[in-house]
Amino acid sequence: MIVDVLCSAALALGLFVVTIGLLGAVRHGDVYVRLHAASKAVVLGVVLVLLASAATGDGPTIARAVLISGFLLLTTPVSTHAIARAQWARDIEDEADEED
Amino acid sequence: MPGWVLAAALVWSVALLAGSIGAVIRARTAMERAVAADLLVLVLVAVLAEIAYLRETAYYLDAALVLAALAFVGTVAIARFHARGKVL
Repeated sequence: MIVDVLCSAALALGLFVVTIGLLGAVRHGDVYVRLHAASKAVVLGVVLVLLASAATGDGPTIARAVLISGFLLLTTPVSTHAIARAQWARDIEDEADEED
Repeated sequence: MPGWVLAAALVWSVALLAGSIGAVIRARTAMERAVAADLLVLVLVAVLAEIAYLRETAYYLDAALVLAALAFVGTVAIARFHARGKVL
């Protein structure tokens, strides 16, 4: 019963955080700020949604949910860094072009 | 988990999915599209997780794991290609 309540709360909170992350990723002008919202906030929300799998009481489901959460937490910094680095390379090129 | 919580969560997640599709369409540069595509896949992982809770099977979480892995590889490939003209 209490696990149900906690996991429902985790589900609701996770979706709320994903909503805020989506809003931040859409409404800002800079790629870097959008990257902050899309990577940090949305991954946190998805991890919370996956955490709500504890309410199902099913071993394989919970194991897979933990696996996906661990994978996301490990690989999101790498992909975020790659995007930021690519955008920075383009910004440097554009600055160099403007100075000519 | 109560049924109505999961139903409401699914409806809201599909709305978030529509929002992220709008974000992908409205992105102007390639990197903005990469960010929005990554966002889309993450929301899709959440939707798949909720469907897995609804159907009480672990099958959809396998698909979610594969999606997450493909999104990671694809995002890194797009970013590296955009930066230097080649991926490896």
